[in-house]
Amino acid sequence: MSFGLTASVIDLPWLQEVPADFSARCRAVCSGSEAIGEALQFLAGFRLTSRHAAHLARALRRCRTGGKSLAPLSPFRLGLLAGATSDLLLDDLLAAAARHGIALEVVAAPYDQVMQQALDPASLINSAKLDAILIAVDHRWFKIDQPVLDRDAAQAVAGQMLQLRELIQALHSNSGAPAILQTLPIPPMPLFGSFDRRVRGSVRSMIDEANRIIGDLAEDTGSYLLDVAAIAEQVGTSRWFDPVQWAAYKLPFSADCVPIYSDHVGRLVGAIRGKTRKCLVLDLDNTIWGGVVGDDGVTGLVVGQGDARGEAFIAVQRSAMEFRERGIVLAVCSKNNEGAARAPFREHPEMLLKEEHFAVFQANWIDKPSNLEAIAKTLNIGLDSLVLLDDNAAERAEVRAALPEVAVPELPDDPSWYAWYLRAAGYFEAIAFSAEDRLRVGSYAADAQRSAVMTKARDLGEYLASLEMKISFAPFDAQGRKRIAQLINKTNQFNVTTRRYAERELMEMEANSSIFTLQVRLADKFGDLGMIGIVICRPLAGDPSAWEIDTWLMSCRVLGRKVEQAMLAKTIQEATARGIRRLVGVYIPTAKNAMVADHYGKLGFQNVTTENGGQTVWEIEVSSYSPPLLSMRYEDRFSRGAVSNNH
Amino acid sequence: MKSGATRPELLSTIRDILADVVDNESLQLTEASTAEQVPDWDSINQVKLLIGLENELNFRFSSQEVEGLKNVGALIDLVQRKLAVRT
Repeated sequence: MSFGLTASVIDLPWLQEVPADFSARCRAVCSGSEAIGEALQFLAGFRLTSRHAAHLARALRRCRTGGKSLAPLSPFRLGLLAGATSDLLLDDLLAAAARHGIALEVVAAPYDQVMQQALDPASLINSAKLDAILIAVDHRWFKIDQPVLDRDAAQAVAGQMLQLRELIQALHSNSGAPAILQTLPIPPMPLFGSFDRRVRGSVRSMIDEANRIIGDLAEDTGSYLLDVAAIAEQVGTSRWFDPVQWAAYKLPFSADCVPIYSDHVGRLVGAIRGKTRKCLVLDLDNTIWGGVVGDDGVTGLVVGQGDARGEAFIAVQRSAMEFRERGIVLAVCSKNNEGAARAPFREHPEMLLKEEHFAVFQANWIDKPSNLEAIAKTLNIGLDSLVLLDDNAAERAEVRAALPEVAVPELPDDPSWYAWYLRAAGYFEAIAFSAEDRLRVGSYAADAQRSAVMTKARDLGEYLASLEMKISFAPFDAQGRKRIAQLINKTNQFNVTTRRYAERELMEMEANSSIFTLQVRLADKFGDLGMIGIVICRPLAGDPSAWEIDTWLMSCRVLGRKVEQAMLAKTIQEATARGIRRLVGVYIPTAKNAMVADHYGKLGFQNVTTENGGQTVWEIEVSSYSPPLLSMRYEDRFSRGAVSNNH
Repeated sequence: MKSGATRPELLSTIRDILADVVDNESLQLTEASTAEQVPDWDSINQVKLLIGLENELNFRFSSQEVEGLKNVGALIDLVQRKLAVRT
């Protein structure tokens, strides 16, 4: 399935695609050594069709029958009183509940026995010791599926809705469990057309009135509310109602909508058990503004009105603000220099979000999982309370692999969809809203240390291997020239000398055999990252057996992937082939490149001199160097060594 | 699967979906098989089978078509008619 240009909630596009071995993993989950509850929740986190849900539900039931603990999933016994066929829901409900932290058991009443089950104190539902009872009925059960044109329609609706009040009261006294009421979707079958709105006895007007009463009833009786009308509206009622499946199987809504309906039940039950997430963690570059602040500068960022991309990022910021105002804590987690990351909040006039809106601000070059752990710790909340919004697929994968408890929505390429994905995913489902919710945000912001929490990087070996990186090396050439010039003239952060060259100068380098040039491309399983690194070496003045590294720069997108180690290995391989015995590197500090002050030190160079102004000189003997073992495939386009090898 | 699916191919597709629905991986099915002969092939699993087939082969049954199917062979007849109409 592709969600390039459009998306529907029916496909749960914020969830990851189901892996090929999903069914096998479901079968194995019970006998596995990992914590079963966590494993089930992880498997439930994919974009499950009903068929997948059946496999997961089977695994969950098998674990439960086998007496296995499903912790940390919270148990919940849900009664189901349905006015039509509900059997198709059962597996999907279990799977969706697990996604939201719940080990669900469903006790389903027989087909269309709603009133009987409620009124009989000894009925299945009333004797089942339930945590809540879902009353899954629609306009047809209330018999407001036909217009009332010959008498008082409001009275007719009120009369029908009395049944629901009786039902809730009967359940209260006979079972004690709270009810979950559903609102009623409106079928796309107009009678008068637009005029239906103005006729009180049209089906549309009667259902509107019924939904108003259902809302009041939920309030009066302390019942929960599942806004099925809203779900159907988001799906589209012409897709929600399926006349064939109603006629043939008495399905109250299309089987295609079972996964999204079930996910909403899961959200609600999760919210009842306190599983709602509490903190929205935002990446910065290309997530809440367009561009990379470290390279483009504050003025180069795209955010704000009057530009399609700028509007998209403003919509993300507005969503974050709205969540904050209802009590969701905001945090930043970005690979950036802290100073650069904070600058747009202070200086860019179009930014809606300001520094004071964030309870924790983590901008550094350490891996994101470690930073997310620091955020959770600072706020004293669990990792399962965090949602990370990040445009970078590799970062998302890293966080999911290291911290499966953190919710990480998928995002499409077009930022116009970001706010939609974040909100449609339902991470912040609520069952109440109080004044304290709004105050809580302020108290977090006051308590939290506002400066970055120091974190220790974790071992990323396995993660890096899972990226299936392919790195390719080539000397400068005509095809790459434009992009090389762009990188050389734009890269500010990971740039040890910040020397700028025009295309004409690059052409001269290509032709000059005494100059070593290297362009580096990287691809991984998420896609082609394009050209991400440049090295230029020249013969060292006064020593023909040494190279001076004139330029070394990289795109910050590939930090933490050991790409620089691979680049050094390649450079030294080429140096050796040309009889070079020593490499000399210079770090020239600028306002933006502090992150590479120790670049050569980390790569094993010796510090030779440090000059006033912070400029440092480093060198390494080729003979003392041995290439590290890296988890990436190499592709080489140097004419002499058209060799490709796998490490 | 293409619209020119053969009867053995359709039988195999139906078997796979039904095996999944009734949770019996080693399910044996022939064109003569009926719901009564297969454990757990009840009316709700029949619905799951039909919807599963629709999703797998990308067509939709009408409400009349799904009534009175006497055995697997009759279902294959119906599916072949549906797939033929589509081309």
